[in-house]
Amino acid sequence: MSVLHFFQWLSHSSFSIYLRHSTWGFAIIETIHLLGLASLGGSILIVDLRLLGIGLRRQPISLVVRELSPILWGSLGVMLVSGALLVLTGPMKYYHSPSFRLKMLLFLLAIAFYFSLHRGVIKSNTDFVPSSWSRVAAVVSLALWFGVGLAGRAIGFLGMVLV
Amino acid sequence: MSGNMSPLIHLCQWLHDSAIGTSIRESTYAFPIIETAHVLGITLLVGTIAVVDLRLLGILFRRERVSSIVRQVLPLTWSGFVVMFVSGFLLFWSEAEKAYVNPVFRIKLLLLLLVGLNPLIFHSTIYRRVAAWDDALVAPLQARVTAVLSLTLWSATIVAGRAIAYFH
Repeated sequence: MSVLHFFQWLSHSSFSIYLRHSTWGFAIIETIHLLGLASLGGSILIVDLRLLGIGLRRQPISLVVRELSPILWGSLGVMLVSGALLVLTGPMKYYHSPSFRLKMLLFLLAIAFYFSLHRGVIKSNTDFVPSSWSRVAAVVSLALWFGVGLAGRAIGFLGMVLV
Repeated sequence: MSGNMSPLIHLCQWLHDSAIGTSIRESTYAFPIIETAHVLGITLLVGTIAVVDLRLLGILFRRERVSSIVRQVLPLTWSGFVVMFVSGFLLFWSEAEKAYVNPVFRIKLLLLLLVGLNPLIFHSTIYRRVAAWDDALVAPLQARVTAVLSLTLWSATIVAGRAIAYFH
């Protein structure tokens, strides 16, 4: 099944049709998505700012990462579920949105980076002073996540401008 | 316009019609860009506040001193506040007239008042005696109540902020 077929199949599913016709479906799911963003963005910022030597400098880097990880992964779960539901409110709209495609690409890059290089760099830090590689990793991570957010905002906005 | 209107609506109309308000409203990109800055401000402001709240509740950084977390996080909280306040005011400026009559906007202002009073009360009462419970894994009841109120009120503020656009 191609991606196009998958999205067409989604848009014909009864749950997608139900969400599309509900008055508050989109608004409620989007609000949950935004609350997830506050919590995910907050934990990413605090970790990456710590790697840049800003914020919780008196706590070891490993402790900051360990403490915030459950919040980071929990809110990522909330964002993934609510994000999937948002797509279900209009699969074809998202399939044809260039901003959505860019967002998914940046999201995959951000996740891949976080799991590989970012994590590796964090493990190499045990002390209080972040290495230069940690700082680079923090900047790349912030840039990727910022891109995800910006592209996400553009889905709703450019959709209106281009149509 | 009738004569018995509050002077506030006139202020809102004046802001709405001013050159800056009009140019933000009429520009294609200004509003969504300012809005993005506003949301990023949320992550910094509410993210750092939540860390303190969760420390008070004994969920995060239990073995770290409360005052150490508060002191280090505060400059970031203020930076987030400045971004939120400036971007929020610009957004309001561009649609002051619509915001004035929007019931959700009024609810949000009320929530912001409450969410601002909460830390003022906290810092002028129980936090003054923080030395006595700085190392406690879980903070005293009043501090925990403050933390729960803070998390609840901030979530409600975010929900109300998003809902403004749905009540236009």
